Parts: sequence; structure tokens; C-alpha cells
Amino acid sequence: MDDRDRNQTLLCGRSLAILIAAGLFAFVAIALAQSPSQPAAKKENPLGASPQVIAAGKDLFNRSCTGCHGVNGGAGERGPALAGDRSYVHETDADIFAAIQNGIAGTAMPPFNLPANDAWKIVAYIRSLRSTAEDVFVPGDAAHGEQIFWNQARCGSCHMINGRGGLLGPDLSNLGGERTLREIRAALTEPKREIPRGYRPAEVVTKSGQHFSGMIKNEDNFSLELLDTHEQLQLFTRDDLREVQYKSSSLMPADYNKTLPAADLQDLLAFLSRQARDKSEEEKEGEQ
Amino acid sequence: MRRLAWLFLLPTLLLGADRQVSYQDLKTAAPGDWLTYSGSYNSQRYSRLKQIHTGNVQALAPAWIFHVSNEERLECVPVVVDGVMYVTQDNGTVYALDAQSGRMIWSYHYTLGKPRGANRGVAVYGNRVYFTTGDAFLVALEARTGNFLWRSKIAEAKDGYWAR
Repeated sequence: MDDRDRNQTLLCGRSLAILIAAGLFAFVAIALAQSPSQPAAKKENPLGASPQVIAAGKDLFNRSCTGCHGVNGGAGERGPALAGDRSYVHETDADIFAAIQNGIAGTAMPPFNLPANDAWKIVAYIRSLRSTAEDVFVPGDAAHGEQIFWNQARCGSCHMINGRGGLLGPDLSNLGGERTLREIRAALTEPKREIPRGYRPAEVVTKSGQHFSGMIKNEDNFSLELLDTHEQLQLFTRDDLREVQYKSSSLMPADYNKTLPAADLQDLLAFLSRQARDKSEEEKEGEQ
Repeated sequence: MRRLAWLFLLPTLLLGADRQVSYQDLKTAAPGDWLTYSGSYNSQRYSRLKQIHTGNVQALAPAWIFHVSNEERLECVPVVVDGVMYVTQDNGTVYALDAQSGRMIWSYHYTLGKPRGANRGVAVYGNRVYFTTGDAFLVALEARTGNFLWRSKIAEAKDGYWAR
């Protein structure tokens, strides 16, 4: 093939590409011209997310959806969990609404074609399962829960909220803005699967025979940084240390469902879920 | 070069029990501490440490490196209290480092306002670490954990004020 042939082939290819592009353009133009007759789909839930709407959604959900998806969205025999810590394909209100009404092609999820308001109520409920705790209606007496936090449950001896409390555990001032209700409940009632970085309890003995116990904030082959139980930082090089004993379990009690009456635990959850940074302030500042 | 000198100073910083910074400490800091922006109220930036001198200055070498990601510049003065070094990043992040090893003890990231311009480092008093933000707030953190304590508006950012 000489140069002229190659040029012709290239030209041919280019014209073909232009033709295809023109065809596509025409198709899209026709499709666009036809679409304005359809009403634009609502992106957000027109019913909002009030406790009443969510409760109504839960009723509907438990009537129509639990057969496959499990009670309270916790995974059933045929459908995936709708609540939990995983990522979701259908994230927005409109996506979930469409999945309910139209089904999901290629899966066992059938179209429900419910009255629109019923579908939106279910959307509100499903979203509430996934929201962080501050956006969920949590029944209970938060003021009483605060008393329990500082007194009976002694959470404040390790945890700080808005500048008050202990230093050994994580600060909880924005807990409700960062964690789901399910995660908060699990932290109080289920043994930890793993101890988060920075909170592993340990006891160290220095070469001079001093003992320190506390939380390892960081460590490597050369150094170890400890926040001791007197809330003082102790910084060591490995050369300073004779022994490091790692504790296998977190200091966080995980049996509040046994040590607190159920009503008190619910009040504590109500208090904790409302610990969140003021977002209106944040957005206002963000605009500047 | 000045930064290198800082790194060389670090092994000389003796470990001690954590203590609160008093007004007296700020006036006459221990040789191993660097409690204010210029090291003293008269801003001499003079260190009373003796380890580095004209006889060994040519042999300075890094003792450790703490990598700050996504940063175009670092303009903060590291403040050192009892072996803990406090460093700030322009985006509103504060780090507490073990000054001897360079390992991080905690970090705090200010997300309430937008970052703007450089940050020149923290101030310390009592058990608190203070820094200012691009949206003109003074922020107080708990020195041992980085827990957010409060913030206070210095000036109106929307009127064009900022702090660093």
C-alpha cells in the first residue's frame, strides 16, 4: 500500500466517522425534541423525612418489602440489606423511588407501581436506615440520656463532648453527624471486632522499671507514643522500653444492654444521636 | 537550611512528663522547648541548646521526615512543648508529633470554614493549642488529643478579613 492509498483509506474512515456522528446527533436531537412532554422526575422526596413519614414508610416497608429484604432492612433471603455500612447503587431519593416503582431490570426486584405517596414514604424510611444518627428520629428522653452519659454509664470518664469529659476515648461531640444509629447502638452493645487505631490499650515497662498503662496513639520499630491513664502523653523510644504488653480488647464496655435498663439505654441513644455539629453554621461559613 | 537545623535539634529534646504551659514558661522557655513563634517575647529566635556549633554545623543531617500531603508550602513555625511538636498546614490541619521520632500523635482538621492562604503555626498555653484560620477564627484544641474545644470569631471573613 503506497502513501496515496493509505491517505484514501484514512479519508474513508474519517468520512464514515463523520457520518456516524451525524446520525447519532440526529437521533439525540429527535429524542430530545420528544422528551419535554414528560414531566421532570422529582430528585428529592416531596414528603420530606419527618418521623411521621418515616414511621408510615416503615409500616409500608414491613408489609411489602420484608418478604425479600428482611425485617427492618437487615437483609432477607432473596434481597440485599437496605441498611448497613455498604455502598449502594441506588443512592438518591429519586433512584430509590424508581427502583420501587419500576423494579430493577435483570434482578428479582419487581415493579411495585404503588401510589406515588406510598412509594415516597418507603423511600423516606429506607433513607432513614442509612442516614447518620442526627437525621434519624430516635425516640427517648435525650436530657435523661445526658444524665446517664455523665453518671450511671460513666461515658464521660473517657469521652469528651464539647470540651467536657475524659481524653482516653474518642471525642463524641459530632457522633450523631458521623455515625449511623446502628453503629452507635453496636458500639454500646456488641464487642468490638477490632480496636481502632490510636485506642489500643497497653502497658509498658521502661528499662528503669517504671510502669505506664494507657492507649497507644502511635508506634513503630523505633518509638511508641502513649496517652497514659492519667491523661498524660508519654513518648518513648524502643530503646527506653523493656516490655510492651498489648491488651487484646478495647476498654470500651460493650454490655450496656445488660448494665442499663432498656429505657435508659434508649435515652442514652437519643442523647448520643443528637450530638452533632451545627451544620447551618458550617454552610453559612462555607459560602464565603 | 533552617528546617534542617530544626530536625537536628530534635534528638536533644528530652522527654518529660506532660505539663501545662504557664505564663512563666512562655517568658523564659526551657532550652528544649520552643513555645512561641520567635522563641521568646523579644523575638530573638535564639536557641540556648549547645549541640549544634560552628564545629559540627557542616554535618547536619535529617533525623526524620514527616510528610505533609498535598501541600505547596509550609510556613508554620513548629512549636515544641516537652517533646511534642505542633505543626500546622495551610488547609487548616494541625499535627502533634513526637519530636524525637517524627511519629504523629494526633491530627485535627478544621472543616468549618474554607482554607485561605498560609498558616503560621500554633500558640500554646495551659493544656491548650490555639491556631487561627483563613476565615478569621481563633480555634482552641485540647493539647493531648486534638479534641476541638471552641472557636471564636476574630473578624468578619465576608468583609475580607483572614488570619494565619
